[in-house]
Amino acid sequence: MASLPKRIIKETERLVSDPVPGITAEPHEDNLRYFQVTIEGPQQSPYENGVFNLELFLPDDYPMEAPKVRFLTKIYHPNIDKLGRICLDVLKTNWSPALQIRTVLLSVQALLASPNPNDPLANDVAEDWIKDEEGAIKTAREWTEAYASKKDQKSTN
Amino acid sequence: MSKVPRNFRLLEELEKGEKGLGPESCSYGLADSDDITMTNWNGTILGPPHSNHENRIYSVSIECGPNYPDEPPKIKFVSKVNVPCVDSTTGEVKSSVFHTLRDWKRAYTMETLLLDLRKEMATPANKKLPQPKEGATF
Amino acid sequence: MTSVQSEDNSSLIYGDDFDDDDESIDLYESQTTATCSMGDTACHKLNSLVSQESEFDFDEDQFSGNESDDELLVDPMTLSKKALDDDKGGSSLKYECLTTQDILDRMLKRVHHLQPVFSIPSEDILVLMQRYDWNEERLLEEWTEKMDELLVEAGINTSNPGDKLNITMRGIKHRSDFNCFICCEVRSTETFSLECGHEYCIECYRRYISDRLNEGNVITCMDCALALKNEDIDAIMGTPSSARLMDSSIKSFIQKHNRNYKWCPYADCKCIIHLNDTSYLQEYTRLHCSRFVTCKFSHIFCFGCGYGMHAPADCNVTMAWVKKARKESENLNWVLSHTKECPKCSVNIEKNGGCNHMVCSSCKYEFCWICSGEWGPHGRSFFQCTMYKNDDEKQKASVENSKKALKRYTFYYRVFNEHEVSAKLDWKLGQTVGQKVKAMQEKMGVSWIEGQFLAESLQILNEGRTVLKWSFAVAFYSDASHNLTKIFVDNQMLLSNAVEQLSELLQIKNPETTMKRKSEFYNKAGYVRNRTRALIECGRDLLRKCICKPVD
Repeated sequence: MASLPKRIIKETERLVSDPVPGITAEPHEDNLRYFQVTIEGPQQSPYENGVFNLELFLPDDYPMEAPKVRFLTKIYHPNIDKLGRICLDVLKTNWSPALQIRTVLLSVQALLASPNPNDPLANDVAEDWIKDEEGAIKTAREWTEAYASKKDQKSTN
Repeated sequence: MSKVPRNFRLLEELEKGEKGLGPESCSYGLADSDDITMTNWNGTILGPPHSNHENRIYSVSIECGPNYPDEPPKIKFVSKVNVPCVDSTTGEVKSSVFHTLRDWKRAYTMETLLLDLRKEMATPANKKLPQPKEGATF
Repeated sequence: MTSVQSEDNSSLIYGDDFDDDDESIDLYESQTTATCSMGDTACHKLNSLVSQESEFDFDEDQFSGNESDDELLVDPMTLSKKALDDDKGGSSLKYECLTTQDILDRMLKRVHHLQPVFSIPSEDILVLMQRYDWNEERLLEEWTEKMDELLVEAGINTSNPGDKLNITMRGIKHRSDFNCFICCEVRSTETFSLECGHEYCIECYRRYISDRLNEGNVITCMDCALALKNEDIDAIMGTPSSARLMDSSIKSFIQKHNRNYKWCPYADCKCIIHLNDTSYLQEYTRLHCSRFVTCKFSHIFCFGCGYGMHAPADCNVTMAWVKKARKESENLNWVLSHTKECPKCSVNIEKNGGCNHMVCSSCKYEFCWICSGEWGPHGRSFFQCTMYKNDDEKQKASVENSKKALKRYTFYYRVFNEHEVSAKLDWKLGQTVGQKVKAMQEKMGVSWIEGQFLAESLQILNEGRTVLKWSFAVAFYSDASHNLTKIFVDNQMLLSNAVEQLSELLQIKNPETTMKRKSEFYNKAGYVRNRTRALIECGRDLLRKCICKPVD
């Protein structure tokens, strides 16, 4: 494999030495562009007390191209689909090379705190969200309990 | 070139399949759109022209294991077909016989596999082989 | 896409969410007459093309005889006819053929024109115009409302040049031991920054810009909303790369104003047709006519649906047909190869000209490319290889309906396709016509004008083929049992024969023979032209009387 760009080395170092609260990101040993990520559900959101597993990959063109990020834990959210794909501007059109892995993960965390059913990726979820927000939030809570509870994480990892 | 990890590679393939960017002669998609591991896939191959497969549509199932694409997927015909590289009782494509599986490379995709199978069906040795009744399954 | 503010949002870039779905405002409506950038000759040429094309398609009366205008007044169609008529309809029907460069030149003229209003540098106005998708009116409106905000939003530097404390100089600098925040490399390098001071090495900036040149949006600093001007882009890239950005910006402008601007659909043609007033297009639809326009390179296409010339089909039939073809090709394999086996000796034959009269090079067997039958009867007028014969019907009453429908479709699709391939081959053939004319000029002293009959014949042949091709889409959606459909099929057959004969004439390679048979060219071409019009007329009748109804 080609040597890792300095930029990636620096970002990785900083993620370890100065971690973002509620977020972890560790590169896989056999692929240093491939990160195992966890994000804690933000407080006062239906995802509170949940720990979500994600994967992140830095493509060849990074940082000119945005990192690729996907949820591995099932989550009930209007902007995240069944396969864990995320609809977020900074991952697509609003990516800038001045952004970093940490800023992207913070944006994902912020997305958990403020779902946007008007710009959905998971259409059925968004529909529920608009029709019956209370019910949708309840479902999101239940899913968090069922798939993302901290105990569960320990046993699977 | 860095190695694209399995899941992101499969997402790329899925997107290509979903947007219909691939060739018209084959198609593929997730068997279960809920499956976060993206293991099981369905594919179709349109029978090559000027052969006994002409105008037939063959369904296959593909299994991308945890080591895909470093290791080839398993592929099995659902529709009955008579080609030497396909096991005549199970429909499985024999990896010891079919060159694309035998000499698998990381750069190969499910699309490569389906297109190569289609080519295999159209080789002079195979194109005139008698075929089971259309619609029969393994 | 969802935008969220993260806690670390200092580096989030503001999206430019300009939804421009509102009325497309023509920027230079008032100006077109005053400054016609195309020059008089070009305008004149366009007008002549316009009238030529009107004769080709929608002169309702052309065929049914040459009634005078007075007689037409009795016709219930008169009113709409008047509105549709190019010669009398007036300016609303005029269109112009432009390139992205023509449009950009106009935009730049507008920018120049607006400079006194804004009293900021032209380069900044250009950025504003891009931000507003070249919508001058909206820009002016918002400019008067909230000038300062707008400047900040658009990323235009508003800091006072005298205030030297806070501002970095915009431009390229040389630095030793520069630590670039993007690539994290430390080295001696050129760097670039805007007044914001976000300074990065030139290589990162180049990669960043080159990724964005084709996106058509204003390129900003990597870390804030400050906009790069064209001169910055060219300085960083070291080449006049901003031209590419302008080009893609104009392209997105056309995309957003696609009711008034249409790309010529022909491969590699870069023409854009601009139609100012599209209000009468509805009337065309109602009458099953199509607004065919012609670009500088004589490509005819439909302004309504954007497809190439598709008479006698109307836009509905065309769309239904195209959609169906797309759908069917997903399910089935329609790969129709360019080679066929000779029906007699099975040698592989490649079709290299548009003519469907094939002669096997090996056994000299003459056959029709479309039906693989012997050619013999094709030349005579009673033969119909253009009609689908439902042989199976009698043999097996119980044939599955779907299969039959599919088979029927296959037939029509195949013929359609064959004519398309033929048309393409004829087009190729046409490119040799120019050389032929030249050869005639040199060898035989034929004047250029005299040689033009070849080009004209070719044009007529192309039109005939295209009409023939689309007539199969019309036939497919028509009620086969109706008498008018039968007449239509007869007309198809007549045109088909006429086209093949003309196509054959054009295959003649020898210039002397060509010149000798000049009158034949005239006759055949005239005949094709008449048959073409007849078929269009007849097709429109089918549509008007709802005998041809596009479904699914």
